[in-house]
Amino acid sequence: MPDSNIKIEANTWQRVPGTVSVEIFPIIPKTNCVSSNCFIFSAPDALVVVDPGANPEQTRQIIRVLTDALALSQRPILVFLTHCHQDHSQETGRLELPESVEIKRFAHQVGVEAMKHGDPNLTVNYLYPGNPGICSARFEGILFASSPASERLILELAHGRWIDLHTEPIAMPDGTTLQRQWLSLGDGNRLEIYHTPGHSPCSITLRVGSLLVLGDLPFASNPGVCGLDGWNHADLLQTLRKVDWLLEIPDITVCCPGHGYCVSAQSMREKLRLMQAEASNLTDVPLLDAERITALKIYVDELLEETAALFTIFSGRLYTISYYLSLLKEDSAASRILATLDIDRIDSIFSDFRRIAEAFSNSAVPEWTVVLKGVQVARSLQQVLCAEHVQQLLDLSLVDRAQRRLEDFLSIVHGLQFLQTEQPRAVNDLITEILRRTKEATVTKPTDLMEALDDDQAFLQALTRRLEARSPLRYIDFEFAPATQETNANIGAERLDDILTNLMEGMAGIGVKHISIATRVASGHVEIRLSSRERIDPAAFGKRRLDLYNRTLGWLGGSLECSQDSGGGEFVLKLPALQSV
Amino acid sequence: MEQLEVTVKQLESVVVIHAAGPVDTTTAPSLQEPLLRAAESPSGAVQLDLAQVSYLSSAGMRVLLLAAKALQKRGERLRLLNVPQHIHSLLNLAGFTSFIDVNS
Repeated sequence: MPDSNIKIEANTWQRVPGTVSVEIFPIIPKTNCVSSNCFIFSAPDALVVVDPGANPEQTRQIIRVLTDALALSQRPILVFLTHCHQDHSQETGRLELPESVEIKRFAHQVGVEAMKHGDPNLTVNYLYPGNPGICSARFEGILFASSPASERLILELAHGRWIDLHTEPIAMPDGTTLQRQWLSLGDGNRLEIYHTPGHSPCSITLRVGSLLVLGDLPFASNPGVCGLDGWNHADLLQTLRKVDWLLEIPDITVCCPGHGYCVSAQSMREKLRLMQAEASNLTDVPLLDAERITALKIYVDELLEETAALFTIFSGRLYTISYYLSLLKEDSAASRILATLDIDRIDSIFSDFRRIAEAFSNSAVPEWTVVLKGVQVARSLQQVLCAEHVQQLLDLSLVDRAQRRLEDFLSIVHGLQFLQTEQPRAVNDLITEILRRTKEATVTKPTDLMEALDDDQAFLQALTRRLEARSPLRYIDFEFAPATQETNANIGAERLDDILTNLMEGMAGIGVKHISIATRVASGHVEIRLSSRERIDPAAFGKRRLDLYNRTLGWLGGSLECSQDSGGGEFVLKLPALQSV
Repeated sequence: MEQLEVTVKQLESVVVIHAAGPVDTTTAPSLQEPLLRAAESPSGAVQLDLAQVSYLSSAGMRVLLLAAKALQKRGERLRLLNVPQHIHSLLNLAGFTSFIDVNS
């Protein structure tokens, strides 16, 4: 959503705050990772284009805007890249204007080198299918060149004019240096350029008047973004501190990111401070290369199938309760129950993701987009689930299971190791606990309804509680043969509980009436067998859901197998025994 | 985006509705309209054939609930035919099989 305090509108000229004669024309497409925002500045001595992007339609718009501005006053065009990533740089050489128009291009030295050598990694070109081509335009303005001769760079223009690029580092209060260059835009206006590596070694931030253009710095710690080639943890932390200091300067009022709306300096400062806290944990982030993105894409598909199934069951249970309440003519209570979870919003979040995933299957969007969409979906679902009224629901076990899957997913995409935050527990004890819980949920308490008879609200609550407590495992006949040895396994109790409960509920869902559970310890593993007399069709569970359980166990050195024979079906879970780790 | 195709067959004393494709928030309205029309009619059984339904989200479940409620008013139950096993499992776990008849 646009920041209501900021009056920077897309697709129109407006005065740049803090200047008297510079205007800005922001082009802000719907947020996507295929093409960036573009900001065009009109100053007395130059037109400045920041990040042309990677969308030919956007390029045509940029050309139209520049042509109109040039008709008012002929000036050179200075094109700057906040960094060399494909989504910002691809169209840089395609601004087709009459030959009489002078275009000078500027980027950080590292970025210029990467584009010159067609480096698919630093430009993250490899993320985009269809070989879109790396920008091969000539860059006259090499920013922050390592050679000392570059302290002052003079670029000659026609008619005896020139651009004078000054180098003026800023000594930071903490003793570090913020690299700065600047050039005049005429009439006392300056374009300042700061070297702000972290997202990429070639990242820069630009300042005109009271406005900062930050490129992708505000997203640099996001899951699916950190770990891209050139991402650097130490640089990012330093840059965040330096930009925080810049934003302390009272006359900076507006911040324009590389994707999405412009926000106030205050909002950006708060965001960057949150990022600092988040980024401080991002040590040892593995490289987000093509292979890892492919693996994450598969993981996203599995996660979404799992959480969609859990939400569908959960919302279905709410519908079931509402059905019975309606039968009792308790329509307002039925509506209240349905209002506890924003079912329509959740459904549209999943539907939205399915569309992106289908577009990927048709090769219309890059794999990376699916991963980033998965991150967005996971965060949206987390928001819905954190709502206070959801937390007041009586049976939260399905929601809790979904929450844990989402947390795992975001950690993995972030590049963090699979977090084992829970205490391991003896498998025998855990299974005994699950079976006890199942029985508890099935126990009917005739007194609760009787006790509430005199109070309409209390009666309704007791009734709702009864309907909610109907565990799908209530009709299952369990048999448990525990191993006689120690069954401590190296897996968090909650994760194992989730997997076992999901598997057993899934078995109940396909009509299994009897489940035999057996544990044994062998070859450094604790083995759990869930057997039924009925055959188990993996498709009925959703193959991706089973793959997800197998993957989760695999991260911890275990596995899940499903097998069939004439006697029925069986799941075999192998978990690493605790002493073997 | 995969579409949902819905066809309605009016037999002597039963309306059979065939759905093919995903039933989610985008497509559910195209199933809701004919299904509720049949369920809210004064008489006749209503059967919904889900053999070709690839995916059923909570929006789809809501449509089933509305039809079940409408039929319950005249003492009938919604009958689902040829329900794929993964959807049958979801309906079971959500408790829908207590007020909807399901034939796999």
